[in-house]
Amino acid sequence: MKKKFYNKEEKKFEDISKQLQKLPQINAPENFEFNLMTRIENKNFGTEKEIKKYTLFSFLKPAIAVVSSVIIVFFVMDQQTNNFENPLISDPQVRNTDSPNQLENSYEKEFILQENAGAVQSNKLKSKPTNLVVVVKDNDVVSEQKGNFPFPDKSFDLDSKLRSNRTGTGNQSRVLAGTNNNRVQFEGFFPGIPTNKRIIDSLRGLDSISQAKKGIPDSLKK
Amino acid sequence: MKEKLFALTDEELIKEFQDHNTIEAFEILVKRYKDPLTNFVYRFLGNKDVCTDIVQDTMIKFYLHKDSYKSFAKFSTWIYTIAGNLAKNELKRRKRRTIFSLNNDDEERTIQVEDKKFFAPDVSADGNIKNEIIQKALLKVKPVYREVVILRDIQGFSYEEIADITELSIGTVKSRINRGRSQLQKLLKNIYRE
Repeated sequence: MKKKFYNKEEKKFEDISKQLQKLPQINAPENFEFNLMTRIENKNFGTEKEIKKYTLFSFLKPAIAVVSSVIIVFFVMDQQTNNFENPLISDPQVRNTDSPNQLENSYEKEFILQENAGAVQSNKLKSKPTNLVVVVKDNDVVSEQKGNFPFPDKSFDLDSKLRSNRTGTGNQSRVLAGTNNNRVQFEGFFPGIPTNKRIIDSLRGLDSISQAKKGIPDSLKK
Repeated sequence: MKEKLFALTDEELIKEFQDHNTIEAFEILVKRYKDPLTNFVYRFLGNKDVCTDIVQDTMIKFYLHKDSYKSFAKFSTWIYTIAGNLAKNELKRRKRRTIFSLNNDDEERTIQVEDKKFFAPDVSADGNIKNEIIQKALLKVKPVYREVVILRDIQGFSYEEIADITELSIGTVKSRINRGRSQLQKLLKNIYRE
């Protein structure tokens, strides 16, 4: 069936076929063979031409553009992310300045500066029977030395003890007993410190990791 | 020696060239195929200079890659496949150039086959102009159809041979020939209108 269909089609286009067959034959030029054999003898196979076309100009220019842009982007990004460490991936670092001792040292440092007395306090504190001793060194680094437990018995009336340690009334009532220093106040178990707004603000800054990244305040540095 | 070679078939000649690197065998094959290949490539591309270059390249490919020919195939189909592929590559290259060329449109508008006013009726009856019109119309046919139409109607290959050359099934070849002829007939309707 198909054959018949194509035969029909052939008949349909018979005129066109005949016209195409009548088209004159185009022959190769007379020097065709000579040129061909010369090319073969000279090994001129025309492949170098194509290679030259597609070497420098077509490939190098876009490659240079891409490479240079990648280098620029790399350096810019590298500078931005040089000190960045992903806190979720990396192990947390122990920061010396975060320890409570260091913070207290900073308070004490300020306190000592206000007192304008370098090593005077240490002798006074040593002579008293209090077990909490504050040692002030020459380089202003202050450390706590804990002594024996201050209370003789296991059961102890804390309120009466505190009351007995108090001297004076009202604002003066919370001065630490035995220090003879009105400025050192006692708030429960913590040594009272005159409030400094700057220090409080710096402590607030430590609450988040992002603010900690910005840098540690100079007052907290060793 | 050369007379003996002349008597050999294409397949025997290429065998001789493959086995003993006989350059005379190659020369005889070039002599036999240079004209049919030139005609085929010219009808496909429509440019004589370019077609000569392509036929030269075909012969050089044949010279360099003679061992890629396998004896179970016909030599003619093998060499026509090379020439056809090179011609198609040239056509692709031209298309790329056409995209980037600004002046190309004017060149194409010079001859419009379907324009009845372009040639007066008495002039169009002239053989040379008629052939030129047919050639221009042929170049307007889609390349996939054009190739098979040329192989069938101008080169006179059988459907099986065309299927071998184009590496298509016979059914596809037949349908493409008919579509190509149909396109050609539409383009030439003003000439063959009775």
